[in-house]
Amino acid sequence: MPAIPGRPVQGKSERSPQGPPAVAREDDDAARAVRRYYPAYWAVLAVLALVGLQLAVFIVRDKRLGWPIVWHYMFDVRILDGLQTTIEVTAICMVSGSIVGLITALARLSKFKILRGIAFGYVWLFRSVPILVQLLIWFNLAYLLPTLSIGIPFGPHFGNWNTNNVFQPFVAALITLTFSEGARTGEIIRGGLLSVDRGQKDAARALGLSARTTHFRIVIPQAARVIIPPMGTQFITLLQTTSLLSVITLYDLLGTAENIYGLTLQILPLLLVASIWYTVLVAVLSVIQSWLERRLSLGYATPSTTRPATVRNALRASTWL
Amino acid sequence: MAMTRGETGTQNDTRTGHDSHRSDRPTVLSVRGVHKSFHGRVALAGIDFDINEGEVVVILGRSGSGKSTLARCIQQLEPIDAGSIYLDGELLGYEHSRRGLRPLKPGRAAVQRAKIGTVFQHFNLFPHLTVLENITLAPRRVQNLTKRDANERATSLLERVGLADRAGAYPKQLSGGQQQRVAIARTLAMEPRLLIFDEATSALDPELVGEVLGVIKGLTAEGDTMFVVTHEIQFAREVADRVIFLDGGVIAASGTVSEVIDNPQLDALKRFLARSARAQAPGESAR
Repeated sequence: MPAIPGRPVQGKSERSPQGPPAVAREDDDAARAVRRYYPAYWAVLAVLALVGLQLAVFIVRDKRLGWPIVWHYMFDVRILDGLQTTIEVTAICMVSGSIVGLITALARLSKFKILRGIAFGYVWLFRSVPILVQLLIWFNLAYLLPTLSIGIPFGPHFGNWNTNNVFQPFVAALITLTFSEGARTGEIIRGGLLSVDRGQKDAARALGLSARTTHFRIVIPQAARVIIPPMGTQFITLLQTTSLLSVITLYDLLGTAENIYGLTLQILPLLLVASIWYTVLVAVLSVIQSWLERRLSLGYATPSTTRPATVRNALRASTWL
Repeated sequence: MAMTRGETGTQNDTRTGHDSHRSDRPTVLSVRGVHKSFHGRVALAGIDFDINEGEVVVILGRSGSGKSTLARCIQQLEPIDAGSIYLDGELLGYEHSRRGLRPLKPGRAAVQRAKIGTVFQHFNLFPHLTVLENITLAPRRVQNLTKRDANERATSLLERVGLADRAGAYPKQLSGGQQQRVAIARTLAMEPRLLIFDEATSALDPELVGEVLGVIKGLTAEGDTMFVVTHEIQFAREVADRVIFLDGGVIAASGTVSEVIDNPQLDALKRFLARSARAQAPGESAR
């Protein structure tokens, strides 16, 4: 550091007369600066450490949490079955909900007024009725329509089914979550599509690219960058929403845990089992999200600040390590 | 090409002046009675002109005079309210049906757009694609070139705009002038019949304007047909075969450089030129 020892900073005193004297001291050199000490920071840290320690001791030592029981049920076949149901429903509805959402978003941005109206109505309806209520309605659809048939409206039918046979709990769950998820992701995707600069579409069209290529090669990839973070949150919400499924007798992770403690009365240990599995699933989703964000940030940051999109870097970014 | 004069009343007779040296060439673009308004605000109020093959037509005018709107209408990015635009004699954007004129199907409109290329004020490069991908996307998707052929074409174009070494870079890693040169290469890659520059240097730092104008000037030397919207009077003087002055959505003056820029008759044109001269006097557009 080329310091200028002993030389006063010219004009400084005139501009800020109330400031310190404009005379440099012999040891004014940023290179020799010592680390600044922040007492409040360390004090808060100390308090937090104490609270954390107390909590850790409680969690490990308290008998009511029953760690041996937690461990025992962690890999119980029934729990794993419930976990599988949770994962299946979440994964299927992530995909189907996103597809419905993309269609909804495109419809809401369509130049055809009627399409826009239908999409708007759909979003309004499926976002306003609570998901629990929607679940119960789909599950109990048989009261409204005892039989379902496919055919031409007001015309001949090709087949009839008993509604109760079609709307098994699993199907009812998939339908509910797909449509409620589609309405929510539709809004997220619409926001992302609107965030893409209009000039991008102009440039693509001026080059003679078709509407389809413009959408799938130019607009959607750029919108994806904006869409991924709120989508991640939405997927996590979806995962947690599956814990409602036991009300329609579909036994997911939580439902299985409830079933077991209903017999054994080991309530807290089994809720802990479910919680631990939920945190593991969310951790996996977070890593995937971080990896996607990295992939999509290509071209938006200089290479030195962006680590390559590897699983290791995604792990590093999605945790505090 | 019989050019029906609009009711606009041009200052210099369009026929005698500009058409003299390139009137033997075929007409590339014909604009006839084009009107366009946005929510009741009139942007274009009856525009008529032709561009012959190899001709460079420069459009001058104050901001808000409809220059960019005209460029966007020709590129078929905005539908026009009245009138017609022809490229090589083909009506753009519409087709005749039994019930009259109707808009083209999107696919056919896209094919027509591909024959015209626009270089935009804000470059509009695709930020998620590399320079090479920006240039090869349309040739591969629209003209069905193989990857190898498209890359070859892109590489030679990048050499032409002096950026052969930046093929793998992303747009955000380039300076404004470099980005605009890539945008020019991207437009040229489609080998358009008509090249539109829509204030291609207006968003650039003054010291970067020169490199882009240099590239454009190189293109005029190669005989490309061009429609240039610009604020750079000096540049217009150097490249224009014909200058059109737009004022209030109509062609207020049209003719050769000497007719329109050097010997302006119209008061509005004189005021515009004086203001531009003052604005550009201190640094002058770096060249």
